[in-house]
Amino acid sequence: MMRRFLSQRRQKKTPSLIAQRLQQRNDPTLALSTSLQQNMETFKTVLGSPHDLLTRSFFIGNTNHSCGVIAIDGLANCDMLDTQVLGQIQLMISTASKMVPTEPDEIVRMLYEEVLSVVEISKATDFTKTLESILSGDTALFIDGSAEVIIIDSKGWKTRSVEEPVSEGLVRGPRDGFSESIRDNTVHIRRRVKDPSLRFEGSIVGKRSRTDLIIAYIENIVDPELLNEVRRRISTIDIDEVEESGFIEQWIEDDFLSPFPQVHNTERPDKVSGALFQGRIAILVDGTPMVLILPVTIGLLLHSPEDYYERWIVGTLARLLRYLAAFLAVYSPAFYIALVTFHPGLIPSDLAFSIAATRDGVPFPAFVEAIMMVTTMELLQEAGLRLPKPIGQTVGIVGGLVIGDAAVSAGIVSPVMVIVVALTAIASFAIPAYHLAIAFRMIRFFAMFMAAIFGIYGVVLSLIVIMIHLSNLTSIGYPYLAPLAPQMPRDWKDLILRAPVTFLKNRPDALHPKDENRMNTGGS
Amino acid sequence: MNSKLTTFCIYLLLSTLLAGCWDQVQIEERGFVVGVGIDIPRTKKTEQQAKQEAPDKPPVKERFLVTHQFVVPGGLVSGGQGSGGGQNTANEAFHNLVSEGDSLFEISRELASRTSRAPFYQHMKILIVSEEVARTKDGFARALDFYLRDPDSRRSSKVFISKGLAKEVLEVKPKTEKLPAIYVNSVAENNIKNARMLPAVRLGDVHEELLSPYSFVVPRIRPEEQEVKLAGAAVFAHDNQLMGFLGEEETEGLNFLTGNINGGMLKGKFKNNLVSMNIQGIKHGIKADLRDRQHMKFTIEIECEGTLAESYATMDYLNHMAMEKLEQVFAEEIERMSYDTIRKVHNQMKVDVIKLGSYLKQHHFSLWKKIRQDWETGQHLYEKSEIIVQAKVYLRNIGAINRTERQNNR
Repeated sequence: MMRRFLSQRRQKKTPSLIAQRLQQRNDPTLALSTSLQQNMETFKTVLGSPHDLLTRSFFIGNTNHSCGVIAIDGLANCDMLDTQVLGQIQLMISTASKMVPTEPDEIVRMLYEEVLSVVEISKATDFTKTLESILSGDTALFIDGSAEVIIIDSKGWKTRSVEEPVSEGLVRGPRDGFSESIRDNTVHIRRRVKDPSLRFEGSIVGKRSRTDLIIAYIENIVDPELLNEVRRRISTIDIDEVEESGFIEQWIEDDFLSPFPQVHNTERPDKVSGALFQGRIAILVDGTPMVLILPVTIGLLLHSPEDYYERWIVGTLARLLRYLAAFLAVYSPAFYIALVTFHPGLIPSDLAFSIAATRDGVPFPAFVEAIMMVTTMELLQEAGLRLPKPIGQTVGIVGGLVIGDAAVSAGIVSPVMVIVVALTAIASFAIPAYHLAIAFRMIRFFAMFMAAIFGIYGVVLSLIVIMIHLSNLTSIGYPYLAPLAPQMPRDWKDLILRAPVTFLKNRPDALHPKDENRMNTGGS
Repeated sequence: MNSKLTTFCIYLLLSTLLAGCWDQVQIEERGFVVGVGIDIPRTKKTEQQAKQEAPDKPPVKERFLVTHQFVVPGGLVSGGQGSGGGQNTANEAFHNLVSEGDSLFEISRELASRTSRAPFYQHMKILIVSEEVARTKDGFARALDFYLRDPDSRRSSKVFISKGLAKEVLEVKPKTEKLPAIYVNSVAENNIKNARMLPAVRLGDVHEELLSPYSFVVPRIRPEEQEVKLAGAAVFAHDNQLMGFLGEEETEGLNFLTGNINGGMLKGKFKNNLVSMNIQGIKHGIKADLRDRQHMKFTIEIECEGTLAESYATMDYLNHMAMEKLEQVFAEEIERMSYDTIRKVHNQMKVDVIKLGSYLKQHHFSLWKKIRQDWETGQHLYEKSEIIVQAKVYLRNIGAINRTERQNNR
């Protein structure tokens, strides 16, 4: 359904907003002129001479040919401008006693080829392009008398240093995480993937925000069909602003009604490089440390990079534990409701009697009790998330005390319920992907409702409903439940179990990689 | 299409309300029945009262006095602290309700009018039928019919025949457990320590036996003030009527004959001093000489293994000649007990509780097909057969010491 919806969207790429406005106005003054003075004025008026605009005109060497630079203060690295641009032009020419030509175009050529000792440098004649470059941190160098502009790459704003990923901590594994700068992020990936066929395909999204977006993949591994589909979907994006990769995720996902995430996100470079080697695609968006990985399978969401770093026995056990946690996170309150209200015969006698004893005097039916407790837990979780760390702890203590102890001694809930809720919360924290844990939290309520109406039968029904949905779900057209449905037995050694690395000869079949073998000796 | 889908979804959602949660009963509102005792009423008082209320009601044959043991969960919590549920001043964890009637189902439903928590049978652990009920014709089967038919009760409940009133079993006040029924249930699992107890018989097992045309045994239970004694066996004939009881030693003999021994002890006399062994397991085999159908000959071979547990005879057990003699003593003891049992069940009662019939069925099926009608009934082939017991004992270990005291005066 979503696929159809996507394809109906406008395919044509919209020109940038500035260009649109320029076309609309058709203003002759907004073209680059040969006059330095006029060019400077034009930019000032277009940008509304903001506070952070840097303009400076000066003479080349000891001649009286004037030139000027325009940059945005803070975005451009002023130190670098001082030494490499102004310094070179004003001083170096005279000390090297170079002949400064008289023709402005010749001056441009000379500056471009001989004087400016900057790696990234280009020439432009287009007003819009120049404007965009300035806004993204480059410096424009105008020479009086020439309509050509030299664009010097001087991006140098303050970025966050490399820090440990907050949302995905590990005991064993690299400590670096992505940051907000897309350039830093590509560096992280490039450092891990020295394969020459690693590709970074750049594009710009957001009509107003003009955000950089990079599709990263390894060309001779990735399935070309997947790549084309991702490109197609990215090209349909038509929004004003992209503040976070979540916008991209929501735009390109297959089914917007599903509670399950169909695009993975991570701030761990090792996870991204691992995914690239498997034949997946990563999407980097400027301004966020969250890198998207796609396509997603249920295995990817429940696996943690640590599974591979630790020895295979540890990895396998950790995975088993995590699958158990996934089940508990969804179904433990539902099972409690079903057993206590419908099937006390299924509880061992002694336990049944003691549950009955603790529930004696609790005024609410088990379902209401469970809903109350689970909702309170969600509240606590949400509140703890929002508050600054010192206060967040207080919320934990108050919440834990009130719910854990006071509610029980007041006889509002039974102690067993507290245990069930605590188990549920802990189990949902054990799931490595936060967005999957959120999906499970939603499904938990559905399962609880079903359990309250139909008992265990309802729990099983809800499981069937979820399974039907999951087996229909796709991520960029790739089955979500692969390699379970459709069955791909060859991939099973890296699903619930994690076979020793020497056994993992193949890349996942589910992704149709071009190069299936991970080992030179060749897999089966 | 969209409005159709919406309507469909609404109907689907509404349909969940139709279910109405009909089975939903909160766990604390259920009356957990852990034990049931079935007796025959001693007085005619209730019966007469019922007659006065409904004089035109046709008279009934059977009347049962049924004791239901309900769990009072509040009493189970130690000290009764916390919510303290219920107004149980004595803080007892159980509550016995006695009711009389001619139908067990009626009694069960009648209870709902007397207790706030309707009976719930899924945790029923024990079912006790009194000797009196079992002695009446078809009484045993009729008493169990409701519990077998009711899908709520479990076939794993243990069945006992009480010597005396079944009600009294549920009224014992054990010191170790809070619930008499749970106490009895646990005692029944001790047959690994005591060979004089019959392995527990479940309701489902009893049902099988009731359906089959052969005799069977059910553990016997005897109530006392603070405890019960679970030893001995009630013998039911092929018509499912109680014939009599086997004593403790006879039960032990029967256990040896059927191979149902998981542990226990054996006593013997050696040079006029007591010796006892701890049984750790037996091997049991039957050999049959079936040439003459009118005089079949069964040889039951029992190999018993164990360690020396107690010895008043002071001698050197490290000498293997002594051990062999000791083994002989115990083997003779097994044979003695077995023959005592055979005398009673084979010669006097004439019931095949040794399960030779099922041996024939398993190992000589073609023969069994021809004689199954003439086994306990008809030509009474069982009665005419001969049973020989051969016991062998292996003492594996003399224990941690050899002698307790200095060998006297030598």
